Amino acid sequence: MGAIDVKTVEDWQAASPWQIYHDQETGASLPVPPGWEGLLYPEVRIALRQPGSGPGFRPNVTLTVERPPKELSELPDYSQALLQAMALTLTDLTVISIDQYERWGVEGRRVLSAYRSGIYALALEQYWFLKDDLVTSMSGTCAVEQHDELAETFEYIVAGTGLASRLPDE
Amino acid sequence: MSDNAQVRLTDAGLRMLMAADQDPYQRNEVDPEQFDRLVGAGLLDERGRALPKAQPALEAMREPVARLAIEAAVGRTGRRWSAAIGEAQAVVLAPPAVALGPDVSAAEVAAFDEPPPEEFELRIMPPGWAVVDACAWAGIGPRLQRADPFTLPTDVLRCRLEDAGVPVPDGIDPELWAEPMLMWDLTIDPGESTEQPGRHGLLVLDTGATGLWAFTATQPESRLVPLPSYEVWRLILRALRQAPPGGPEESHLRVG
Repeated sequence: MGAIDVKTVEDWQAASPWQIYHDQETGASLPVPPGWEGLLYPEVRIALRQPGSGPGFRPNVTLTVERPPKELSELPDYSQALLQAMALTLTDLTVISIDQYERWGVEGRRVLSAYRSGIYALALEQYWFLKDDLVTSMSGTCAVEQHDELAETFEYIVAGTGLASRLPDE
Repeated sequence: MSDNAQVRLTDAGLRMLMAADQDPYQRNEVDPEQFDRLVGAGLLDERGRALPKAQPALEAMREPVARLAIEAAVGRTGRRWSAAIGEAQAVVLAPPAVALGPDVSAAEVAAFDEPPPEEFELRIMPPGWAVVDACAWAGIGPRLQRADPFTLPTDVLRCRLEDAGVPVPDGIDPELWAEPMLMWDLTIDPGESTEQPGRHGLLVLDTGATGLWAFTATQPESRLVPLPSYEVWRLILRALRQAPPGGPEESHLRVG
């Protein structure tokens, strides 16, 4: 997972040894960690999961695309609304960090948080980018204990993520 | 907080819990309020014996995989948070948090001199959640972070921690100096079963709305390096991964 020194995401994807999954309906794309399997989730454009058969939480990555309403069309407003919604739906949500994050000239956010799901303590690393009134979000979820190991994988994935250019019905 | 259990205890209450699966106390032998709290939390039965819910916590406290502790210097006193992390559960012992809120002034923090409370909260939780609990207790969360490392006289900083009226030293950002300040030392030790104990430490200066700083105390000047919350989190996780036997005898967590 070495750094790839290129100027566009298309060049990055061409240079990466990982396979690239393309969502034809939105134009979004995502590098796939070797061996990870694709899943079908409602309202998620791309879902990948680390393989494994033992007990424990299996890390996963999802990509979603949405067009926020006009009142949330600025990144700070969108981020605040999303975090409020997450606090309502995720048990004991604890936000660790919110950082500005720019990739390929597009402004985004990186948000690290943790929450409880049944017996699991989970880390959730999210990146979202706003371009042409569309938000493309990449979320990596894993057990808290796994996060330091997987953070580089999540960052590598987001480095090679192609942003959506449309919604499926457009 | 949806912990597996949480209860306010004194040291006597903790001793009662620790003895409960070997030599249980009777209610008339101990502080009845502490006894009733342990029963109410589902950790002891009415005869003072440990219930199954308490077993993973007792195992974690006796033979932890790792111990995590934060010693916070707040004004003229201190607070200590600690966790015994076991295979199945973690047990956190936490006094009231020291996290700086937006309404707390620099003068209030510097003048803080309440002795550590007699009671603390015992919380039983999944092992990984202890790291989250540590962050919440120490105030490791979203905040603006100044980007440039700086140095300042160590003795002046020590005075400033107890007196917000200490004049800002030359070359130090006045806004940073005016923020509420406290310092904490995070240590991670391998558990009791480790033959070659290693210790990881991280000394952090919290300067409120201007960020967190990894602190290397030397004389006459100390160096402070920006330490965003995201990095603190990962440093803690990395040190926990390195805590099992065979780790370094003692080291500071590498910043940056």
